[in-house]
Amino acid sequence: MHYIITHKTRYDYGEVVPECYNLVRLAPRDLETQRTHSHELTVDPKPDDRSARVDFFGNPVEHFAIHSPHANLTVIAKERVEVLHRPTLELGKTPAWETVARDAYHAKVEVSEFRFASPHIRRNPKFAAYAKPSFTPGRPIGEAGMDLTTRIFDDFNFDSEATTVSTPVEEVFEKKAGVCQDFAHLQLACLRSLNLPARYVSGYLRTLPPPGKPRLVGADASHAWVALFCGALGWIDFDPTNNVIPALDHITIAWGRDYSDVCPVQGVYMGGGVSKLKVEVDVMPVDEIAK
Amino acid sequence: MNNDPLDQAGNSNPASSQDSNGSQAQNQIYQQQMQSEGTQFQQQQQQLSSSADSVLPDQSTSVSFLGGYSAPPVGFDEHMAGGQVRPYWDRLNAHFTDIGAEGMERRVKQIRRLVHQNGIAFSSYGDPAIRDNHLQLDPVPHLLPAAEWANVKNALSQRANVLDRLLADLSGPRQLIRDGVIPQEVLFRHPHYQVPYQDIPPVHGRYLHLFAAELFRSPKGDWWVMADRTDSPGGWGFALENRLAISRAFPTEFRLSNVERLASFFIALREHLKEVAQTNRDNPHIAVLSAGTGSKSYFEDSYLARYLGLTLVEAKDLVVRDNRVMLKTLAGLTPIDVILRRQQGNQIDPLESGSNAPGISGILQAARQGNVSIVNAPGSGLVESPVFMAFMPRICQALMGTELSLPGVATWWAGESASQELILDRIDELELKPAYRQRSVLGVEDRSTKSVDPTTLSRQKRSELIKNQPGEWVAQERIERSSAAVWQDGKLQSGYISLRSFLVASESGWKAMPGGLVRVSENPHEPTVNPFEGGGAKDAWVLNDKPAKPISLLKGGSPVFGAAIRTSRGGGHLSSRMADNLCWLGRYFERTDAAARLLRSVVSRLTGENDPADLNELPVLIRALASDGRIDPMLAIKEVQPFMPTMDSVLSRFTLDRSDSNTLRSLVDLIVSQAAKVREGLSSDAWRTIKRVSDNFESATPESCTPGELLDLTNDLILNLASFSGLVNESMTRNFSLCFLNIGRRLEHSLQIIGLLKHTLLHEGQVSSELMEAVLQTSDSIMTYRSRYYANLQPAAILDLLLVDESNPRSLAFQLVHLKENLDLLPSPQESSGFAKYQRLAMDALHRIRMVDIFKLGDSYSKGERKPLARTLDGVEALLPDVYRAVSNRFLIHSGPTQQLVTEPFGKLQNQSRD
Repeated sequence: MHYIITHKTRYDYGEVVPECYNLVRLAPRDLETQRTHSHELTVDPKPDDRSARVDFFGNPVEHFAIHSPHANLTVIAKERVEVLHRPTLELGKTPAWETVARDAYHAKVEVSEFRFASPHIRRNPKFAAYAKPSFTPGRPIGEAGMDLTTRIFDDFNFDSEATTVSTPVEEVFEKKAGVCQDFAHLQLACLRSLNLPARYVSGYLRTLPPPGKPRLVGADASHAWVALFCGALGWIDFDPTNNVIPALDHITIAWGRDYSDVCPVQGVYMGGGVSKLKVEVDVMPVDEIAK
Repeated sequence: MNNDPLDQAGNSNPASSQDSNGSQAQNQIYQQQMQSEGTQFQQQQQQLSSSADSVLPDQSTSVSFLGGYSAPPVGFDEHMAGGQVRPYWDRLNAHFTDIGAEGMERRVKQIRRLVHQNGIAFSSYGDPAIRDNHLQLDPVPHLLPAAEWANVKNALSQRANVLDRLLADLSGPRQLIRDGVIPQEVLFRHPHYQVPYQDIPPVHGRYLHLFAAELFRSPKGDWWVMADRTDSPGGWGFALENRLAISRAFPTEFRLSNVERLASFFIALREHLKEVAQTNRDNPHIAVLSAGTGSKSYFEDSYLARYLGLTLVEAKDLVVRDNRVMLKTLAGLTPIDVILRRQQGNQIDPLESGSNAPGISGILQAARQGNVSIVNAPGSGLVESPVFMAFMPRICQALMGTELSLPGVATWWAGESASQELILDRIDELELKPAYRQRSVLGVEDRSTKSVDPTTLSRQKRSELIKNQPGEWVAQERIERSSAAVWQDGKLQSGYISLRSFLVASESGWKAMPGGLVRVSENPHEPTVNPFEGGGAKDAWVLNDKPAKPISLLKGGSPVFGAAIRTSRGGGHLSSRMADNLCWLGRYFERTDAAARLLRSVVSRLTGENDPADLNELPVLIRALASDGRIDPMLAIKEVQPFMPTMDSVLSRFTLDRSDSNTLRSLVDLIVSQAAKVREGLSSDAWRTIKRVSDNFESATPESCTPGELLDLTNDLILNLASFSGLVNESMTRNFSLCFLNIGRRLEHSLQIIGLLKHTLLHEGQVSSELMEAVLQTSDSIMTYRSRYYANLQPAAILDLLLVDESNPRSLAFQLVHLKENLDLLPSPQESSGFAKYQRLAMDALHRIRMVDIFKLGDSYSKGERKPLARTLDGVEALLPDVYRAVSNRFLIHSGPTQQLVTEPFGKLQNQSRD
């Protein structure tokens, strides 16, 4: 499946600011099941300095800075990505979850790092207790992971008013409501509280218009889900917001311990008032272009 | 903190318990040593003391200086062994015996004076509430024979290498974690583990460039490591200052003892900083990045910058352009190649830390690209946490294949189950410490994160702490430090010492400072004070057999610095912040001087022969004082005066009141704190004069200060300010620094003259000849006036002298001429033609004064018409703040606080499956 993705972020600083420094993670990762055919980052006003690197977790990062007075900042990332079929997963054939938890200590450090607390994730017996009904003794980890995904989908309400970007995961757990980022953080907290390595994945989701209606351009959003380490099978993605295992509809941008490692646009500026943010995302399947 | 019992999951695995056995074995050896040495020594001491008792009084020891010192009965003593003075103490002992208690006291006074004048102070500059907390420097130095020191030095080099390699491993391959040498938790739960630092390449192949170790001597006499400092180790400036004071107190003994010079260390440091430059390698611009005047280490930061000839900067002086770190100077942005990081904590880059704490946005990316060398590497403070002490023997073995040459105090991390058991078993004997060291940006140990002080808890509570948060705690063997003689209250007493040693990396391995900072406290266990929080100290002398070679930082001790120096003049590198601070020093200086002179006019009338009630000018002068806020305005209201206490009884109280920011006392505080901010730009004599100003006021108490004493105080203040002014003019290079100081002075002096004239000559009532005389006196122009006009007081003549006479250094015209002269010296933008805005404004002010027809003005004033004078003064007064604003806009304002962009949570959009 090919997609053309446009992610437009516009900041209004409220006042003219003399300069700003920014760091963005908007370029998709190259994976076995995903290829980036093109990626272009357009910034307005034109940045004075630009550089790029790959971060500690392997995510592409772009840096830019503007040193002339400006009141608005627009960042547009546009890319063409191809998502390939993932190998069929037989969740029942994954190892028992206890084995993964026990071996996590000896797993490669690149894996075991993801079983600890991180800036947005605390380990807590409450989270472990919530996860426990899915993680019954001896259950294959893939099945248990999917079961937890389904339970979060069922028990939690999608409510974009319930939380903000800084709502702690404990509060999400109490409120039983939030957005995909909250569900991902909650699921990570549950999994790590069982000593299981799990990471945060950011990206996009193809949205299907209601039957008989045209797809609305720019009405999509960035998305987030989790990946759980399943022993020899490696990492398996779970999307608690949609109760699915990501396949052709999910486009991966970056991963890390939690949101703080993969924030799409971060920046600082001098002076200014209260900054306002507007984000537009469009995930367009390429077959639509032909139509 | 994390209350995380799940963490114990990792402890049950075989690898970790096996590992902890390793460290346990080593720890047990230490423990046995400590105990057996302790008891052996105790017995020995008891024997000795009993035998000593029987032969007392022993002539030879009772006359010797150290004979008057009784070492504590247990533990290692630095001077005495078996009742005898250690041989390497003979020379100093003989000298001390010669000079006797009286000579010692004289030297103590000399040392105090030196220390005080040089400002060995840890106080937060600028905060008058925190008084200078002087390090109590002991006249008795600490002696280290060269052979013993050589062993310590080599062992410390090994430790520095281990810690550097440890940092390299943790930021890269993490083999120590893969191999189970260090449990994963130790890194991944470390509050200072920062992902953005992990991909910053080391500078010159190193993460650690500067290292300090806190050492103590065990009862057996061996040196042990108590703590490591790897972030931005401090205290070396104090070691140097101590050396200067002690070597001056005992110049001959110092020379004859062949003490190794400290300068070699600082030369090595400067060479290393130059060596690590990745850009502009021929002549790198090296900056000392300080956390600023509010930080505890500011004195040391500025002292080091001055001593090493480096540029002292704060985060707000730096900006990143095109991935290079630039210093904001008057001449524009100039690149910085190397940063000696003295700012502690983890927030060097707001862009990547997500915090609004002061930092330099974009600096990490500049470092990643090799465009700036940061020393020590950001994040190097990771390994100074006590938790690593528990693993050091294993880490050394794994990284170097050898044992640690210098043992560390036995430490167990409660996060390992075997260690936890041991800790619980021995909970009464061991010291509990937070496993992770938390530091704030200002370098103060952040106590808020350490919500409990384990020493105050019951046994039960301490055990619970260990069981509930095992990963957060380490336990250490209680240390017994060696004792040493301390001169206190006119006699020798005993204290317990620790030695902070400093090492800097060099091309040929680590270079150690010969000696270090010795700290003394009363408790044989742990020193409770951070060197930045005061306490006792000693100078440490490494004694050589041969005379030390003289070395000095300036005499080209190294060819690297002697060669290819480009001569330069001017002060293009003057940072904008420094320029602003100098300007304000000038302003506070003149404001204080004017306040002191007006106050003197009042006090001298209150204390004179005449009854103050008969002096018609006095109420006007008091009102002038009150209008400036120097005293309570109520005192100047005629109607209220009968109900108020008499002026002479309350004037001191108001003048010396620190709580009101306009009083003379507060102005003095302002001058001192402002001078501290620009200390590296002042000569040491000028600084001492400022200190003297502050000291005089320090000893005056508002409650008991009589008007006569207040007069003396004010006279001294005026004299000290004049001598400061003289020193500045005689010793400051004619560069932009002096320009900005003078701009501030001339601006403020102009405002003060205008203020005085308005409050007196333009006051509502009659202007008597006594008042006119007081005005001339207050503005220090009375002698000039008398020499010209004798006692004939005429308004035209007074206005001529105080307003338009450009030859009178206390006239308004003189100030404005010099203001303009200094403004003309500032660098002008190349593209512009004509005059800058600040020049035009200053010329306008000067022009208005030059155009005054003084006879007409004097004549109308004599006729009671005051408006023309008021108009003239108001016109100039209104222009002056605009001059400052124009200068500030052009040269001084460059930055403000940063803000973080708001961020959007992922997936705000309603998902499809729920429609």
